[in-house]
Amino acid sequence: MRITSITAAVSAFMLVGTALASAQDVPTLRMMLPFGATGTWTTDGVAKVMAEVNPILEEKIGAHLDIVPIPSADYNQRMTLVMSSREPFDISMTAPWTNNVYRNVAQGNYMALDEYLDDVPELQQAVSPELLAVGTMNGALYGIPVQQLFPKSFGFNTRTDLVEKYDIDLDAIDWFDDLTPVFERVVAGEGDGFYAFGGRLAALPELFGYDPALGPNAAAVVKMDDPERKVVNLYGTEEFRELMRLRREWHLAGLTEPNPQNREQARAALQAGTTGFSLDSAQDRPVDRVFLGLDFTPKRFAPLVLTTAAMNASMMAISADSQHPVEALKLITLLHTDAEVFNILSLGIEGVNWQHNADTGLVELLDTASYWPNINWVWGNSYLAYPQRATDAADNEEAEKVNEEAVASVILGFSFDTTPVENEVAAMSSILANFEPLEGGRVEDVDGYIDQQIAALEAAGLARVQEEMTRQIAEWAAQQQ
Amino acid sequence: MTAIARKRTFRWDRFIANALPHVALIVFAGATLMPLLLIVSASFSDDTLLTRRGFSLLPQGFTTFAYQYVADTGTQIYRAYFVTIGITVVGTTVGLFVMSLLAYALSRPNFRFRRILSFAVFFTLLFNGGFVPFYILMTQYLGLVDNYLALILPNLVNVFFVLILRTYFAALPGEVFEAARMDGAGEFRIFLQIAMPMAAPALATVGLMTALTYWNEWVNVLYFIRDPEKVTLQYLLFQIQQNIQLLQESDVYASMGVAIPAQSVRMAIAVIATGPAALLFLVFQKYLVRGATLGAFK
Repeated sequence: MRITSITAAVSAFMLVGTALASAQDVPTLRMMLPFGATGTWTTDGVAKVMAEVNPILEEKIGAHLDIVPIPSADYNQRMTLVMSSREPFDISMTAPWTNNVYRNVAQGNYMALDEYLDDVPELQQAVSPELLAVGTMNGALYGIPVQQLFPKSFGFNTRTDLVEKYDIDLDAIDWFDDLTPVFERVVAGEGDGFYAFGGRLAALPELFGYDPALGPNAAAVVKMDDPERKVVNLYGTEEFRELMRLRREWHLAGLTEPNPQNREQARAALQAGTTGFSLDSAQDRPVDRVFLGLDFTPKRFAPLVLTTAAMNASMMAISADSQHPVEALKLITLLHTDAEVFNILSLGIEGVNWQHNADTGLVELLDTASYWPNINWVWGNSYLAYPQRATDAADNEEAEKVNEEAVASVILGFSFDTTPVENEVAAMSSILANFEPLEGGRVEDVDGYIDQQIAALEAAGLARVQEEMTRQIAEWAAQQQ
Repeated sequence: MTAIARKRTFRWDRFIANALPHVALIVFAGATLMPLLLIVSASFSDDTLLTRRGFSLLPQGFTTFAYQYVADTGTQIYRAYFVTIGITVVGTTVGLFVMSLLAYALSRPNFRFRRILSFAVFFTLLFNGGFVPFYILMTQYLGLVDNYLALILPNLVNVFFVLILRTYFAALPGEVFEAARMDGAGEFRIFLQIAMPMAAPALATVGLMTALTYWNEWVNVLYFIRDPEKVTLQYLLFQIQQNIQLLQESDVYASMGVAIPAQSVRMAIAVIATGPAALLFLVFQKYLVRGATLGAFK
């Protein structure tokens, strides 16, 4: 009796010991993610999903996962602090627009991943070389971009009911000047208080077929099909002047909203029905055609092109301080290859957070309160997501077609490192605001004003920025061979 | 009797001299009230009509949709209200006690370490370590993540308020303290039963301002709270607004086809957030006017 109880105690002790040991052997990867603006979650809900996914991860990659969900609106601010206080983490979502990838690479916050690629051969099978090239900065791989619909399509959208009412022949419209008679007809027909559109023209580099290597700043861009990869200033071209003169004509003819509108106000006007066109992107996929609760018909002006800017919009990077880079890279790879893991993380637990509808096979959300990140485009291969809408299959097909149809820009994979010309870029950015009244049609002397702005850009150091970009592109091109 | 019976002569010049300031003040009060009324009106307006016609004093197409939209964030908003009230009550009570203890000690001429303590306290008014060290201290040394203390501690002692209280305590007549000591009262008893009641106007002012600081707390939530169930009202409202902006600006979200009452929601948020604080102000108003001149005392 006594002996058995002692043995039992000893074996129990040993069991506890081995349990502790195995728990220590399995590292936990801390992952910082921006959870969606329309997402909801509780600490408890996230913990339950982690408990569900961790046995699977332990078996597949020998690590556990701990997600730190951060509201997407706060993500940039919080990650800046995480980085500057060197708070430990393993993986974080990064992009040029939030948790700035270039800044983090320059500050040495991310780990160069090239030497670990051999440890995770599946990664190179799952992620195309073009994508890995996009994640390569300063000659080293820092970010693994997600797979989604890449080429954005540029042109304009018309409210579908207007297309029908005014019998607008979209095929006959090849460029903005063809829109003038259409605007005239619609504005006259809709009567007082209706304008074709409001706000400034957006995405100008892409519309003219340029790769926006400097973000929204079109003063240093490269024509997407120029084999010379020459850096030019779009604002100085005749095509830009022509479009601005046309924009002024629309304004003078009372076709467009006379007051300045920012993007948000322009959207609100579109939603309120006081305008009927949006001039920047053409929403090709069926799912995108309905936005702001209204149905739109797209028309594309520019050819579909793959650019770095379109492909690095969401990446995963590994912390320079991470103790488990191989496991972290394996997890990232899993998010590109494993539908089970992808969907547990993106939807939660089957039967608790969601279920398959028996008839349609689509995902039905059950408990979105405790876990609903709503960020399919952040995890990895977004085509692994179980369909939620009946149109999803068609959308994915369309996306695949568009991805294939798109031509690669001549500088696809190149990212401009602005650090050497930081001051010049900052000075130029402040001048960009001056283009707002111009692109809003409110400037009387279009040519004189453009000359004035170009002079200001030159004074701010445009030549130095263009030189630096030219140098970096040449260097990058040499590395490609 | 005679004074009442005397016939009053109406004098224009006196009337105008009286009326002018009144008219000016009424116009000024109206101008101050107007934006508040516009906010309330807009919060009950139809968003589409707001975009089309702009703001007006009466709601356009009366609707409570904006309030429903805010309420639809689930039970979160009630919990956030509860958190805010909680940290306001606890923070103000504890803060007031700690600050007056400190101020009282600093005001006593017979306190030996008065100079060095004063220096230590007021030094922080001029210099601090900056935000990143503060963040490191809070998260890595004190481990105050997802902890209500992270919302209470940083605002517990405001040096400027300590200064106000110290000045007030110092101006209290020393004879009263002498008399109390003669009657055998200890220092703590003097503080609690003599100094504190006499400093009521100063305490009310500082209390109100501290309460407002806690009521408006959101920055520390942004950095130290990760659990969505522990956020304060102001942070939640800030987040709702940020999300609306994100939804309106990005293509990803715009394509989801949700109609968002952006402008009216913004106004509803303002009403929900500032309403209780404005009521609090009305209650404390009479003390505040008296307390506002406190800083001028020597």
